[in-house]
Amino acid sequence: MNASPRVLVLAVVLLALPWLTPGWTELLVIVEIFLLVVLGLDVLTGQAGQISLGQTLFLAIGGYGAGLLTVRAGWPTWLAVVVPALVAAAVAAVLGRAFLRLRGYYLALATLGLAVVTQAGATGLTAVTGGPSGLVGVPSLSLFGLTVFSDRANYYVLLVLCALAAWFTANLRRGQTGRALAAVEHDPQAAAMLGIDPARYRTGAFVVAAVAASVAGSLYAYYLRFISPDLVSVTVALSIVIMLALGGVRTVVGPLLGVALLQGLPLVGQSFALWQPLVAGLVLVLVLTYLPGGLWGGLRGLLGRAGERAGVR
Amino acid sequence: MPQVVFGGLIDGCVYALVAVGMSLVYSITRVINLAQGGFVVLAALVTVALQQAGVPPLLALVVVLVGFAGLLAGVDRTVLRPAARRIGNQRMLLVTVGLLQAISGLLLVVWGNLPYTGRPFTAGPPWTVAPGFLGGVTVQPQQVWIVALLLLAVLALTVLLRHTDLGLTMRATASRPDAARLVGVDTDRIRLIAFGLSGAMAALAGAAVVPITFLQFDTTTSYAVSGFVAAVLGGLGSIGGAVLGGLLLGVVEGVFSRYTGSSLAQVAAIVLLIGLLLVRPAGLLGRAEEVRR
Repeated sequence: MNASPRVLVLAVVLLALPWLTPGWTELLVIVEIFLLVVLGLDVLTGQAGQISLGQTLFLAIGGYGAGLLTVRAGWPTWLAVVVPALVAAAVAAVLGRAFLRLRGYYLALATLGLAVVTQAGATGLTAVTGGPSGLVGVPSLSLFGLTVFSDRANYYVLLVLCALAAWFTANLRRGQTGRALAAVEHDPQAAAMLGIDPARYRTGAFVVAAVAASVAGSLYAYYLRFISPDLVSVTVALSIVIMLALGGVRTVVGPLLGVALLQGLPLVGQSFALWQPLVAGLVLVLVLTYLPGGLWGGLRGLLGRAGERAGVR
Repeated sequence: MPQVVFGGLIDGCVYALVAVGMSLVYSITRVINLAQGGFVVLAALVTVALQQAGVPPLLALVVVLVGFAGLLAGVDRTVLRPAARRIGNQRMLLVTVGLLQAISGLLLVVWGNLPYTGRPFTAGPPWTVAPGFLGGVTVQPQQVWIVALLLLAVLALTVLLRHTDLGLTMRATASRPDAARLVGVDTDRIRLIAFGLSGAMAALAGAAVVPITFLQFDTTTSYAVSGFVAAVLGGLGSIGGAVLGGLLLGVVEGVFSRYTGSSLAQVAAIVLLIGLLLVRPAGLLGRAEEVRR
């Protein structure tokens, strides 16, 4: 099967999914929201090789930005997605310049600092953010005069965004920029010698990740119609990184697998929700240790080997 | 005001204990063990369980101390060392995040989501020091215990590292692992000892702090973050730096929370840390080459 029929089949399945699995649409929407965040982070971590434990900062800029601009200032909802995304890009550009000079643990710490600041700020700045109880009464997204209110409508809007993000990151990976990013990851000094400015490329990747997280945050707020510190806590920040590491970097299926697993497991059963953090933690340790390409990388390796064996026969 | 600074110093002593454990493991393995924060809360809740079973608090402390030294050595042997053989340090950080999450999960399964507190090591009324100076400082006996345990731990570690053959071997392993292996040092054994010591530090921190606070499954992250921040603030791999970083973090948070509330105090502490890292990337007492890997 060549590429275009496969894409067609995939598109039909994705479009039909909310009708095939009634009752699961809520989960699908949440999965899409985090997929958007993780696809963005993959550009930074998978392609440019930089860890960020602080993506909740941009999730919060998008979420609280959209909430405040619509509730307090009465802006149209689409504009309240675009403006926070631009703010997130600017913040990432400034922070990226400063932070991405730090390496390894110091970068991890600085970005973890962002996650702590985000949670503490969302809780503490009561006058702006509504404090621990959050910001309520956020309107639903409206596009071209239509209100995106139902689970299914949200699913389709996010499907378009996720498809765009997947298309963007896949093209980026295959193109010249992706090769430059890979060079920066593997050997920044050699890359610099070839005329690739590592700081510029890393900052660019950070900005891409920030914009994706901000847009996801805005849509999260529109979908839940409120936003609270719980949605941007340090635990969420860590779980975003876990989703990427679990699924595997530098693909689209990997992040999807990681997100679906981490978001889907608690819904398996009431009693399982209690066990979910323990199981997720242990699975992460095992996957990181024994499957360097994540779950998807491991699965692909397995399928590849099976295919080879079949081919030999 | 003196009371605020004192309270901050006590919090700082606990951060220092967490940071010393992380720093010790870092100097031998070059891995930041964020799970240390999880072991602190686990030790605290085990202490509470022992106390509720009728074990006297000081005996419970000793049991937890020995038990956690063994537990962390075991965790290194079964989880972290096999992982470190296969993957690089950046991914090891994520492995410890996974471990941290697993410990939080274990706490949730065993203890549920209620906060717990424990009995102090020795009963007794609080007393007031220097009542003439700005209202003085009220001191709880347990707070004296925390300071004493930190001093004792640092003293014991210093003697171990500076004045014994084992300490010399550990320092040699920390500065040149390959060279140490060449002259016949069993570096895996040194690793195990470092993890054992960091387990003891986690036990001290958890058992000492639980009588003056409330802990539950999700407080693990905040101890992991505070310990990490303190260790980096002081300079990774330096015991003195870890203590200094912990105390500084505690006082800054304490003083700010007096005026801005506790969540914004955390923001102030982090902003200060990031500012310091940008000016002095090696931390207060660290050396520059650490930053460049």
